[in-house]
Amino acid sequence: MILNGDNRLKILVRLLLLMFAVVLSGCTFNHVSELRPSLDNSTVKEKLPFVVGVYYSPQFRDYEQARLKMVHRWIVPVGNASVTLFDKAIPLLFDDVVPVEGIPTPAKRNDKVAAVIEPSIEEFDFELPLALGDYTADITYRITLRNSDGTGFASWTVEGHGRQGVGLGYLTHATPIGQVTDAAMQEAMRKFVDGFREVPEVRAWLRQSGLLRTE
Amino acid sequence: MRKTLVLLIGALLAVAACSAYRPGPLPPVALETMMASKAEKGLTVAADPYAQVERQQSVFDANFKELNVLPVRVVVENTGDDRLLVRYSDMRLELGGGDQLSPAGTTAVATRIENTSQQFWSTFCFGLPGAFATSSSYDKSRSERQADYQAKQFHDITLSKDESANGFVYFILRKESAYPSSAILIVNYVERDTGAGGAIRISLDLMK
Repeated sequence: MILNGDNRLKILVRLLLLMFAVVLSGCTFNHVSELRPSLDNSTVKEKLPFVVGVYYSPQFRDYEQARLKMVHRWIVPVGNASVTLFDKAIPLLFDDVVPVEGIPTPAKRNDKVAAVIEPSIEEFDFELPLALGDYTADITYRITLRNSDGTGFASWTVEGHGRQGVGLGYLTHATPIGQVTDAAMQEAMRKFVDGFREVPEVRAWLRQSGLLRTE
Repeated sequence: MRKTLVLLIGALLAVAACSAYRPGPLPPVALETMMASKAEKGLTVAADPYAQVERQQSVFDANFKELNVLPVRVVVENTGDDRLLVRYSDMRLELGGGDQLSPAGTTAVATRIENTSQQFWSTFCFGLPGAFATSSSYDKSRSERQADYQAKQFHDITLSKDESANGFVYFILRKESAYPSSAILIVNYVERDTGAGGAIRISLDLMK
């Protein structure tokens, strides 16, 4: 088929009309970022001689954030990846880690564990550039430590940031968004692991348990 | 033709410049000049909510009121002997009915400011070059804005005797609870050496 000038114009007009119709119809294209955070170079040398429970709430596991730009929705399922990362991080701190299905209560104590760790996502945000700016991601985890009857005795946050400029070779924003999110999660997790024993409330707990000398 | 091109480029540059970030200097801070202050157990906390649009524009180059963001400038001073840890994430804003808000990160605050109408008109008038110019300018201003908000933010700090720190705490209010007439700022602190905690509550008048 030979395309002359008229035909080309007709095709172009139809394509433009089609794009316009897609925009008007409210169609959105979902793009899910694949997250692969890792944990390396921890400075922790000695584990604490405790059995601790870890509780991931459904809200934490299912946490995801989406950002709509024109007809594209960029989705970052950060909860699921955070569970994987905490599953790697917490065993670096304690002798034994067991998953628990709920937070203990005074009526339903859990005396098999010295404490229950409950991570949550306090804040997560990401942004993508419109032209030549940076991809950014920021995450803040809240870590809560509870005793056998569920009473919280320590609660603090760790945050991480990821930033990356526009690069060539990305077919979609989903890849760099995933990479900056990985970087943010990794930074936060390093702070959690390396700074765990420096948290004043944790130090008080270790002191009470006889693992730290009174200053 | 050349004249038209020059005009077009000039207009494009003007459009791009419109979205530049222009923050003002941070006014000096002193405990005595703050709106409210309170001292308890060796910690003095003073707070000054930036609820007026003019003050917000001068420091943040943004109308936060429109975006339901309330920045509160906080000063903390340790006058006691214990080392005290004050964390940004442990501050709270209590609204009517006991509803408490946690502070927001600077990315969350900065990304609320998007000039979509400017991008639309720029694209509409100048096509692809217009879209590119405003988008690049927007990216740059977003990045600068975020860095500046981060620099002005209150950061976690351990204070020894007679040390002080200050910075802004950003709260994003829910739409239906935007800018009430008053609120209570809660500043939690932890004694660094014992792990014991405490909190100071300060009433803020947001109508002043």
